[in-house]
Amino acid sequence: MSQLVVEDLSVEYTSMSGDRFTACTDINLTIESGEFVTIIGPSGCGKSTLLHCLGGLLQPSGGSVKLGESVVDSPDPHKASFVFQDYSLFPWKSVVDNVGMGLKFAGGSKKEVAAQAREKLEFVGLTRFADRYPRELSGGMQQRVSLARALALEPQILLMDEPFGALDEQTRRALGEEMSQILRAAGQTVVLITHSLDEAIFWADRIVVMSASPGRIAEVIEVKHPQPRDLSFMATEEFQQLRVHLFEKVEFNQLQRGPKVSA
Amino acid sequence: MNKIGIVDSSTKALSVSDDRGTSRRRKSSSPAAGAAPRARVNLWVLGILIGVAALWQIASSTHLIDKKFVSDPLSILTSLGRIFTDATALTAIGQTLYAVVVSFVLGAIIGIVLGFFIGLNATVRAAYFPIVRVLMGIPTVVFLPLLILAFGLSTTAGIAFATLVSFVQVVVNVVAGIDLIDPKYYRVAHAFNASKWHLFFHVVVSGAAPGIFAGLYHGLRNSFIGVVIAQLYISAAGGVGFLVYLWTNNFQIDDAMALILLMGAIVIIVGTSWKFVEARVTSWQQR
Repeated sequence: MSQLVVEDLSVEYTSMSGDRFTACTDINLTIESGEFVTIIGPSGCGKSTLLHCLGGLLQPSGGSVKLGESVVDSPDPHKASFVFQDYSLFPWKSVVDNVGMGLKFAGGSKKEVAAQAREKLEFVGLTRFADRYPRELSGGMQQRVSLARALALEPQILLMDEPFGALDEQTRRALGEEMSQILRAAGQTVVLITHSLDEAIFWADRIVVMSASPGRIAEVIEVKHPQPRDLSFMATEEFQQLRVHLFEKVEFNQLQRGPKVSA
Repeated sequence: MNKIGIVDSSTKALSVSDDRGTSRRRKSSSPAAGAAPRARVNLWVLGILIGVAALWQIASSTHLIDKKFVSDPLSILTSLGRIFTDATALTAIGQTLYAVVVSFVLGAIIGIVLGFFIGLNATVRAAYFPIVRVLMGIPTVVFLPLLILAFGLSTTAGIAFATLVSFVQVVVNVVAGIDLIDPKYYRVAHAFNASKWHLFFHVVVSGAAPGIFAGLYHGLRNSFIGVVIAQLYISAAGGVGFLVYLWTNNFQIDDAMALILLMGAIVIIVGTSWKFVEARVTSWQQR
C-alpha cells in the first residue's frame, strides 16, 4: 500500500448563472498507509468535494492527487472505494448482488463475485440477509452492506462520506464503534467525513479541520491516544481538550459566520 | 482481513437493527389500510354478477325489455357454448389475436427503442418528446381514416393503427421510468467504475423496469382496443370487431354478447398473468 498525496488541490465550479465558485483551495495533505483520518468542518467547506477528488470521482481544477506513483484522475474502486451517506444501494438488486456489484463491474466471473460478496457479507455480519432486497433492511444494516460493497474490492483506501449521518443516535454509536473496530483490525486506510466532534476525535489518528468559503485546511490535529481505543478515552482530559478546541474551530466559527437573526 | 474481536459488538448491533428490519417487513406484508380480504371481495363480485344477470333475465322474460335488442343471460350462455365450435367465430378470434400480437410487438419494439433514446439523450428528448406528447393528446382514432387511405381497407391498416396507439403508451412510460431513476445510482455506478454497458443494464434497464412494464401493459391494452376499433371500420380485416358489428346488425345479439364475454375472459387471463410476471420481475419495489 502507498501514500495518498494531495498537492495544491483546488476545485472551482461554474454556476448556472456563470459565476465562478471556489469549493476548496490550497489543499495539501499526505495520508499514510493504514492511517485513519477524519475530516470535519462547517457545511459548505468542501469536505465532500475533497473526498470525491481523493477517489477520482471529481477532477480538481488545480493541483493533483497521487496514490503512490499514479495520478488519481478517474474512479478505481480497487484503489479507493466509497461509502456514501445515503447508502445508495441499488434497490433492484439483492443484498449479495449489491455487495458484488463492484467486482462484477471489474469483470469478475459470476462464481468469484458471488463467493467474494458472501465472504464480505459474513465479515459485516449479514450473511442471513444475502438474498433480501435493501428495502427490507434497516438503515444501519444497509450501511453495513454499503461497507461490505466497498471492502469487496479490497481497496487501498476507504473513503467514507458521513456514513452515519442518516442514522439515529443509538445505531450511529453502535455501528460506528463496530465499523471502526473492523477497519482497525484490517489495518485499512480510511478517510472519513463527519459532522460529529466525538466521531472525529474518537477514531482519528489525525483530524483535518476545514474552514469554509473558500474551503481550505484550517488545521491538522494529531490524536496521540493509543489505538485501539474504548469508550473510556472519551472521559480523558485529552479528549475533552480536543473537543473544546474543535468546538471553537468548527461550531463556534460557524455560529459567528451564520446569518444574524434580527429581533 | 481479519474478524478479530468484533463478533460481540457485531451481534449486538445486529440484534438492534434486526428488530427494525423485521418490523418493517411485517408492516409491508400485512394488508394496507382499507384493503379487504380477498374472499369477501370475490363474494361481492359474484353477488353483483348473479344479481344483474337475474334481473336481466327476469326483465327480458317478462318482456319488460325487448329481448330482440338486448338478449338475455341464458341465451348468451347457450350461444357461448356454440361459439366454441363455430368456425366463423374462431377464425375471427384468431384474426383479432394475430393483429393484437403483431401490433403489440411492433409497438413495444418501437416504443422501447424510442423511449430509451428519448430518456437518455437530452437533444433527442427536446426534439421528439413533444411530438409524442401531442400524439398522446389527440384522440388517436382520427388517424384511422388516414391509415385506411394509406394501407387500404386491409388488416395492415388495422395493425398500423393499433401499433400507433400502442407505441405511444410504451414510449411515455419508458421515459417516465428512466426519469424516476435517482441520479445517485449513476454516481455509485461511476464510483465503482461501471462501463457504459454495465450502466445501461444494471442501472437504466433495471431501474426503469417498473416504467417499462407499465408501458408494455398499457401498450398491450391499447393494441387490443386499436385492433377492435379498426375491425369495426374495416370489414375486410375480419376479426372480432367486424363479427360483433355484423351479428349486431343481424340481430344475433346473444352471439355478439357471447363473443364480447369471451374477449373479456381472454383479457382477464392475459392481464392476470401479466401482473404475475411483472410482480416477480419488479419484486424489489415497495408496494
